[in-house]
Amino acid sequence: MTTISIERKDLQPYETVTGTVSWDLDDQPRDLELRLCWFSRDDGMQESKTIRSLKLDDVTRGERTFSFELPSEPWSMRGQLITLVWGIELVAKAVGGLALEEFIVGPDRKVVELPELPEATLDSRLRRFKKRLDQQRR
Amino acid sequence: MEDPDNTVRKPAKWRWGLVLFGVIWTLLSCTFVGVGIKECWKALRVGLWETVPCEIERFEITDTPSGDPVFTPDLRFRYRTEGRTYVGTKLWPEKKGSNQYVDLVEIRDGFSGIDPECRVNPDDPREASLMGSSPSQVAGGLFFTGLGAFFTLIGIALTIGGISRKGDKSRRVSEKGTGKGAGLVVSLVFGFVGLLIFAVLVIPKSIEWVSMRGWQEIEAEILWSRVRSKRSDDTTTYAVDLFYRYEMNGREYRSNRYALVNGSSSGRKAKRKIVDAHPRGSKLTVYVDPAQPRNAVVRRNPGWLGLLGLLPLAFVVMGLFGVRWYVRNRDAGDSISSAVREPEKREIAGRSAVVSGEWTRAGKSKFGAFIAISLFALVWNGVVGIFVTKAFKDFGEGTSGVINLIFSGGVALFMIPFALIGLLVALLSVYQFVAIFGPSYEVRISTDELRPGGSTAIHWRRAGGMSQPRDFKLVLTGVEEIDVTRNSKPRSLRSLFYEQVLFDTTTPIAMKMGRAEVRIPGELLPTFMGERHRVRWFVSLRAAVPRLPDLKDEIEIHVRPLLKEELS
Repeated sequence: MTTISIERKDLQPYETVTGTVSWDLDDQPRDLELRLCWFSRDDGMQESKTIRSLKLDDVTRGERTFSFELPSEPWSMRGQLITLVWGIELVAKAVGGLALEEFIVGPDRKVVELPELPEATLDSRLRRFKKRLDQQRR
Repeated sequence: MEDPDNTVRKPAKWRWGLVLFGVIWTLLSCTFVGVGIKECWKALRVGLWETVPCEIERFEITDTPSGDPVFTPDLRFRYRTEGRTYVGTKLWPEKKGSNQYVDLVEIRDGFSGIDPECRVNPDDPREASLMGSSPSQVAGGLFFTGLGAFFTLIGIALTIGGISRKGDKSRRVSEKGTGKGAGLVVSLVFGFVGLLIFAVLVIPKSIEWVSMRGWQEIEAEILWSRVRSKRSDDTTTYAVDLFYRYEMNGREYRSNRYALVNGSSSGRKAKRKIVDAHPRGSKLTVYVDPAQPRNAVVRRNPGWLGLLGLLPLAFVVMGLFGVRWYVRNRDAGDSISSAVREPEKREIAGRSAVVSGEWTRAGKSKFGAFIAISLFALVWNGVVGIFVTKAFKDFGEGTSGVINLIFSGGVALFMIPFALIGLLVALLSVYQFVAIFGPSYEVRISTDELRPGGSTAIHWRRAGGMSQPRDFKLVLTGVEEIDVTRNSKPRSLRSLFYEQVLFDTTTPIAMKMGRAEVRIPGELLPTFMGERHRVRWFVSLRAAVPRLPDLKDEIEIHVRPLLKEELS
C-alpha cells in the first residue's frame, strides 16, 4: 500500500507543503523520488512541471516525512479550456507514478474559477454549442 | 480529488478507425515489400548461374531514337558448356539496354583486353548473358523492399496503437509510455533512409560535380536532338535528349548525357526550346573528362535543383530529434510529473510584448503580414494553378477513353476547393495591403504594479496611418489559450474569461492620445505561460475606420504573481 498524506491541502504561494509518504512495493524500486509538481490539462493533453524533488531510499518498504516550499506561481485554476492542479507524486524509474496526492495553491486558498465570456469567434461558438449538446445528452 | 488514480475519459470511437486504417495501410505497404523482394530475387537468381569462359564476336551499340531503351547492345558471343557450343546475344538477363549511351560504352570498354566470362542458366544452357543483373535492378528491388518495410512498420505501429487502446477508455492523462519504442524505430528508419540517400546519391553526385569543374571544354556535333517523353500511369514527364559526337586525342566519342543528374520532369516547353536551339548537325560546347574521354556532359552546373540534395539531411535531422526524444524519455515511466530538468530558454510572449514604461507599437507589423500572406498566396496559387490547368486541360481534351475522362473530371472537381482557398488567400493579401494604410497606435504602460488586484496607467498615442476612425475603444481582455493540432496543423484555441472597456470615445481629438486606468481583478490569475497551456492578458485597441479595414490591434501585458508581502 502506497500513500501520501498532506497535512494541509489549501495553501498559499510561498507556503510549505508538508506531509508523509509511505510505500510498500512488490519489487525493489530504482531511483525512487517524491516530486512537487503542477500539471495542467485540457480535453486531451496535459503538461506538467516538477518544481522540486526529494530522493528516497530504493527500498521496497519505507516511510518518510517531507516538506516543500511552494513558488509564487502558478495558481490552482479551473477554466473553460485548462485545469491546473498541484500535486505530490511518488515516482520510480521505469515504473513511473506510484501515488499522487493533489492540493490547492492560491492566494485565497481556493481554486480560481475562470468564467467564459461570449466572444464572437467561431471556435468559442462551436465550443459552446458542443458543451450544450453534451449537457443535453447527460 | 484525493483519488491517486486520477483518470480522464477519452473518446474511443476513433480507435477502430485507426485499427482499420492501420490494417489497410499495412496491407498496401506489404505489396511494396512483395514487389521489391520479387525484383531482388529476379536480380539475384542470376548470381546462382554457372560462369563459363566465352568469346565476344561482336559488341556494337545500336541507337534507335524512338526505341525504349534508346541504346541497345548488338552483341554476339560464343560459349561452351556441357560439351556443346552455344551463341548468346544478351548483355543482361532481364534488361534490354539503356537510355544513357555512356553506360554501354563503359561496359564495352570493360571487356577489352580481358578474357570474358558469361553466365549460363544451368536449367537451360541456351540462356546466357554476358553480365549479371544490372546494379540498378538490385538497387530498385532493395529500395522497394526497404520503403515497403518502413511503411509496413508504420502500419503495424498504427494498428497496435489502436488495438492497445481499445476498450481502455479510462486512462491516466499522464500516460507517456505509449509508442516510445515505435517512435524510436520510426526515427531510426527516417535517419537511416536519409543517410542512405545522402551517401548513395548526393555524395557521389557532389564529388562528380566537383571533378566536372576540371573537365575540358570541347566542341561537339549534334547527331540528334529531341524531347524524350516518359509516360507513367497518369502523367507524362519530359527530358532533353541530345546525342552528340566529339573528338579527343584523335579519337571520336559519342554521348547523350545532358546534365549532372539525369531525369525527366513535367513541363515540355522549356525543353523543346533547348532542343530547337540544337538541331542535327549544329555545334555545341560540351565538357569532357580528360581522364576518361567517354564521359561528357552538356550542363555541368546543377543550378537550384542542387539544393534538393540537402533534403535527405532533413530526414537525418528528424531521425536525430526522434532518438534524442527517446533517450530523454525512455526511463520516465508513466508518471504525472516530469523529472526536474534545467530550465529551457524560451521566449515568453507575455514579457517580450511590452517594455515597461516605453512606447510600444500595438499589433503586429501589417507590412510583414502582407508580405507573408502574399508569398503564401503566390506559392499556393502557383502550385494549385499547375494542377488545375492540367486537370481542366485533360478533361477538355478527353480523347483517351471514358475512364480517363471520368478521372480527369474527378481531379478537376477535387481541385475546386483548393482553387477557392487560393482565391481567398489572394483576397486576404489585397485586404492586408489596404490595412497597411490604416491608423496605427503606440501604447506605454508601467507593468510593475500589474498583478491581480493591482492597477496602473496606460497611455496611447496615434503613430501614423491614414483616415480618421469613427470610434475608438481600449479594452482589457484575459484569455485562456491552448495549443492543439487539427488536421495535422498546429493552432491555438482561446476562451475569453475577462473583458473590460477601459476607454471608449467617438470624439476625434480624444482618439489622438490619452490615458486610462488598467485594473486587474484581484480574484483572477496572473499571466501563466506553459508549453501548451497559457493564461494571457491583452490590451486591445479597436477602431472602426471608414473605407479601410477596422483596427483590432492587441498588445500583451505581463501580469505578475503576488509577492510574499502582498498576500493577505
